[in-house]
Amino acid sequence: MIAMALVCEPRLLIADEPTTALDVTIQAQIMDLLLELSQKTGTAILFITHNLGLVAQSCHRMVTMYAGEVVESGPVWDVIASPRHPYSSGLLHSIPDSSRPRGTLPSIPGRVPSLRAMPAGCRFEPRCSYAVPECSATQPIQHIADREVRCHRFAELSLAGAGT
Amino acid sequence: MNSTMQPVGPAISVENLHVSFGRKNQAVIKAVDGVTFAMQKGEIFGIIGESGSGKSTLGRAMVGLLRPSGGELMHGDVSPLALPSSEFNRHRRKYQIIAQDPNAAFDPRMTMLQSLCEPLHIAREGRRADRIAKAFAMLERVALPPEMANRYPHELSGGQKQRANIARALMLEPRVLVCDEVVAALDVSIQADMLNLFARLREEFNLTYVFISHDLRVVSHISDRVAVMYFGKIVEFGPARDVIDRPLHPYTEALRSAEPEVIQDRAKARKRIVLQGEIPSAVNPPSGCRFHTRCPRARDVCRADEPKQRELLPGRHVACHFAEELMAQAEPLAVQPSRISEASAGL
Repeated sequence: MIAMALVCEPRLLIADEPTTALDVTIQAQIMDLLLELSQKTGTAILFITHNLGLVAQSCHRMVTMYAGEVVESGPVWDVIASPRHPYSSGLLHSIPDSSRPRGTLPSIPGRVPSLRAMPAGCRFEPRCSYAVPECSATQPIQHIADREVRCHRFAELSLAGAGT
Repeated sequence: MNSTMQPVGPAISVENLHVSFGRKNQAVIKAVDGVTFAMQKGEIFGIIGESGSGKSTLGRAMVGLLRPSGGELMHGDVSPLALPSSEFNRHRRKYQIIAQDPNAAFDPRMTMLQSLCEPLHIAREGRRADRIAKAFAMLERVALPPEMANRYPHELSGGQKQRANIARALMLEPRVLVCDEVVAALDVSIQADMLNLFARLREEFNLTYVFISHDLRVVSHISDRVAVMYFGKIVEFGPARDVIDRPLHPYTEALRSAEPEVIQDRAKARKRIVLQGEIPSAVNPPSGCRFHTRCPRARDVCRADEPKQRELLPGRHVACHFAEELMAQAEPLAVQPSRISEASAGL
């Protein structure tokens, strides 16, 4: 698969969940291969996954998407250590971590809204524990240095990142 | 509840269990090759290992879905394989398995209600009205709304289907539930919901779980003890967190190091071991220690002799010639007490 994609020496490789359902050992081999190729040939990689560990380990920048919109973007370790959007924070927080006591894992309540019933304002608002009435207004994406966030409360919230 | 008393002592114990595939004139594949352990009642027992390590085969053999080719299997004080077939079928209802793929688990032409009632129908338990009432009760226990009963499998999301799958496994009031990669296909937030559900159901139904997964984080979160399998054998077992945080077998160490890390301090401190190749051909197993072809620590003795399983620390069993050496080393993969983990009080 990877060989086929690389035959024409592409400038961009879109890797959509390339290692999902693989064993961690094989996953590590595939990721090493992809990263080595990208370094050698200068191919950019757009890496699509729900595995946050792989993102942390392999990528320079990351974008969090929710219900069809970019809700956050920035340098990988910055976003992972201190997310600014409640959705990124919720995802990071639901990863089991052996340094935390066992017990109930935090998770995000509810489900992704259906395309036919998309909330008018912030699309994450119905599931967000930080929601306030202003969240029902349309949320523009805001730029702060090298990061972006689609949440008007980003400055007042201090959200938990991975491992906290 | 069924009137049969729960047996005292271990829920399931296996001794020198072997499961082989293949006919006489073909090469025999030893999927499970001499496995011994005992699971306590109420315990969550994790089995980890790569594809082809024999973990699913072991899980199926433990509930009696596959007939072992050798060794002993005990369910409490009952030897299920010695039971006459009619009694065995009745016995086996208390030992259920939940498979990885919820899409394959349901008949696409049956509603959820029909699927949920089917095990009771086959077992000829209860009247129709009782079965239906029980199905609705189980849907509620796995937090699915009652209107799901009249839906078809394609109308449910992945997480909902897996919940329905669990509800169906609970219909026969099992004692033991084997969960084979049940959260592998779900994303992190739904995975967290499911793990919480499993923990809650254990309390509510007094269940014992076998939790099979290749995800070390998931297994170490939910399990009390874990067994690490490689090529049909248990190479290491012990308390879940100890095994994952401080592996004493090079294979566990490699699995642990291949798991991507989300905390920067730990990712930096991490020694990465990328195992080369895949599990070797099952028809022709390597000599000596089966892991020696991929082991970064392998020496001559590993090619010649098979390592014996020994108890290195209380409750921690390892089969590696150099396990003592590994134990003596500084803990390369243990979690470093850092600012981050000290501040971790949870959400």
